[in-house]
Amino acid sequence: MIGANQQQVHHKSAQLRERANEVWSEGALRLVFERSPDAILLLDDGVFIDCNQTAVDLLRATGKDELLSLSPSDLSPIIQPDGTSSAIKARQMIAIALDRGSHRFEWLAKRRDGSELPVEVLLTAIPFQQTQMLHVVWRDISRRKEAERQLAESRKAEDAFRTGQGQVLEMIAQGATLSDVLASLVTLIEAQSEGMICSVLQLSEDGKHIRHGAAPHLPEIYVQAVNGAPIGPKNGSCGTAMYRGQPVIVTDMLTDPLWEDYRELAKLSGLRACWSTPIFTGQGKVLGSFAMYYREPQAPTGSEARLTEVATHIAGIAIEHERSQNELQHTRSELAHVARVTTMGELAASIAHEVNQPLGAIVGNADICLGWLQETEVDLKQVAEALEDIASDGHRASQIISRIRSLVKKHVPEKSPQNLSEIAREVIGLVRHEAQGKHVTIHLQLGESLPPVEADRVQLQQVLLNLVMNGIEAMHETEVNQRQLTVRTTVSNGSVLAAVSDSGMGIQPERVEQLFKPFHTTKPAGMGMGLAISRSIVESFGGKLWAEAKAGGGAIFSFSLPVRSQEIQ
Amino acid sequence: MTEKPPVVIVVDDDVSFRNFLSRLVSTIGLKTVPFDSAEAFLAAPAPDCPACLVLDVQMPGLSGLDLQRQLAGGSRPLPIVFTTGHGDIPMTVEAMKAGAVGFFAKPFRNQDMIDAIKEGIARDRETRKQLEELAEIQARYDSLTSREREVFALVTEGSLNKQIAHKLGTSERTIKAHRAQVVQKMKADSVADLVRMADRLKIHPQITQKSA
Repeated sequence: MIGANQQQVHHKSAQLRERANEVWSEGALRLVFERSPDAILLLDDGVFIDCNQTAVDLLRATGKDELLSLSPSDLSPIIQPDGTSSAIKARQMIAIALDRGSHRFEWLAKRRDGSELPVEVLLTAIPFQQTQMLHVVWRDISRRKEAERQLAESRKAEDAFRTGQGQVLEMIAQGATLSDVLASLVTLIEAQSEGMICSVLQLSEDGKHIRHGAAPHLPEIYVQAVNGAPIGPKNGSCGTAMYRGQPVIVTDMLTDPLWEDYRELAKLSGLRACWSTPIFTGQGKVLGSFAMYYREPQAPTGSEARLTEVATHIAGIAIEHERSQNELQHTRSELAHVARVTTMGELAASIAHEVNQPLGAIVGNADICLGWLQETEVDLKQVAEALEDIASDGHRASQIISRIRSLVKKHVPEKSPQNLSEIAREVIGLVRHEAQGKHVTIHLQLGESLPPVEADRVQLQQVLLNLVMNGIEAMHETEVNQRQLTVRTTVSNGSVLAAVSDSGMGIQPERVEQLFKPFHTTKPAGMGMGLAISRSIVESFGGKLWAEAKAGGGAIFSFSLPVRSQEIQ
Repeated sequence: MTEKPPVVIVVDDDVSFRNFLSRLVSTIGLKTVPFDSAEAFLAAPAPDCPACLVLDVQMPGLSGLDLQRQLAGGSRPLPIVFTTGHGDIPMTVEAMKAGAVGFFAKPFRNQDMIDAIKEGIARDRETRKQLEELAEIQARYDSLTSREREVFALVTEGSLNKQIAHKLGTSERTIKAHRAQVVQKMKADSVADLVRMADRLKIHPQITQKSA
């Protein structure tokens, strides 16, 4: 069986050889050459002697004759993409092919119309009549090259997009304003797609109205019209998206029923397509919307989904961050208010004294005047003098009251230029009697013509008041004749410094930081919030507040605030 | 002896209140001497006329109550009317216990203040009178010889001439002569008068106790 089988194989291969010889001799293989989808040329001693039709087509020659009349250097640019000269590189490649029998490499060819074409070249050396002919195959790789180029480009774009997202998140972390953050986000998203205009809108706190977020490239008239508009089931793309809590795709604003009430606005603004997606909190509450606009009717292709996802995600973070910051700020200012009212309560007796002083004089002087007026002969000059005193005391009383009122009433902190020495004088005016009652002598060392700092007046008064009250309190066990409190203001290194030093029991250096923890108190009636609040107030204006032990007993509490930037030049 | 016109001394750190009090005091025809602190008042010489002090309780430095304590130790504690912007009950009690004429929280009725000032001046006038009398009695006592002083002490203690003579080891006649001398020098109307003077001078018959 095996022998028969072997015989059969031998027979078969002999048949095949015969057939192959036949094909070769008949020139049938010539057709392989002619019809190859790759361009093939024969190079003999630096001269093309033959080529196939594919080569003619690929190189855009008029015919074989033209192509064969050219030298290889006519079919390449002077320089290859790697910077080497085509002539030199060609000689190197040929040498390798002759040496190894064949060589495959990438090449930039120049077609007859001057256009360039990336090709893969396969050189095969063919020994023929004592010379070495070269069989040259050129395969068009322009598609592959283009794909590679596109891939690299999209990778680069993706990297840039990611970096952009990182930058926007960084802005949020560094406390940039919400409108700056959203404007950067919108610009970043817009850069990812040609002809697209984006906007971020916020939903008002009452959940009923649209509030402007960012739309740096939408027409101003459109932005203004949308700001403050109500949301609802038929209120354009964004108003409806926020109302439904679902994306709303409008491919043509001029025909879509959702835009019925806003058609004219869309026309005026030159906008045709608007796809809006709601922005949610982590808990699923609608915060606003992100929209993509086009100037032509358009439907999403699917490639926008990712951009929308990124945009709504980041915008959500930014808006939520801003809202929680606002809430924190609000809580802080409420707390500061409570602390102020508490302090004023502690000062009530001193304040009563301060007000009763002028009131006593007013009532008394008025009584004297009444007595004079009942006399038969009235000395008008005397009466006038007394009335002048009454007026000036009345003025004084009202000033004291307005100073107290400003400290007690609720207000939204506002930054404005402040003079620390002036504030120190006002605060000392409030605690003067408190200090006297506790046998504390106050020394003022206030810098003249201090540069202004940027802060809220009431809150600065509160900080200083708190430090002074603490200082007075700290000396309650000190010998009566040694209770000294010094308030100093000065300027140093672009900052204005205020320091309150006492001659009290002092502080242990290792306990300094504990003083600033909330609810840390040494006073029987204290809430223990004073220093924590004071520090947060000073820090909110870009300053620092710290404590140190004083040599020879006592403590110094200081805070510094940067000099207002306009004043530095 | 004609009396010098009385003055009202005002010690208050508040200038407008000092001015008001001066004005008020002037309506009853009196003069004011103002001071802006207790220390300034202490540095000035004491008034040589009937006076009343109107004192603010809370002042920088020495407070009104401190000043009251300090004055109480002296020979002529001036009557004090206190004023305060914000007084509490313990403060008032302390001041009144220490002999204040009045204690007024600002604002107060002018008439109340005037009444208190008048009472204060009357008190001081009385004090000054007492002090003058005492000085007079002291001067008379100083003119006695030491034997006469011994007789004075024993007489005011209630001893009879005989007992005195026995105690001092001398005759009753001699004692009678000394006694007449004492009565004359002391300008006494009666033994009862002498006893009152001894009380004022705080004379105690030490010798009798020793020898008894």
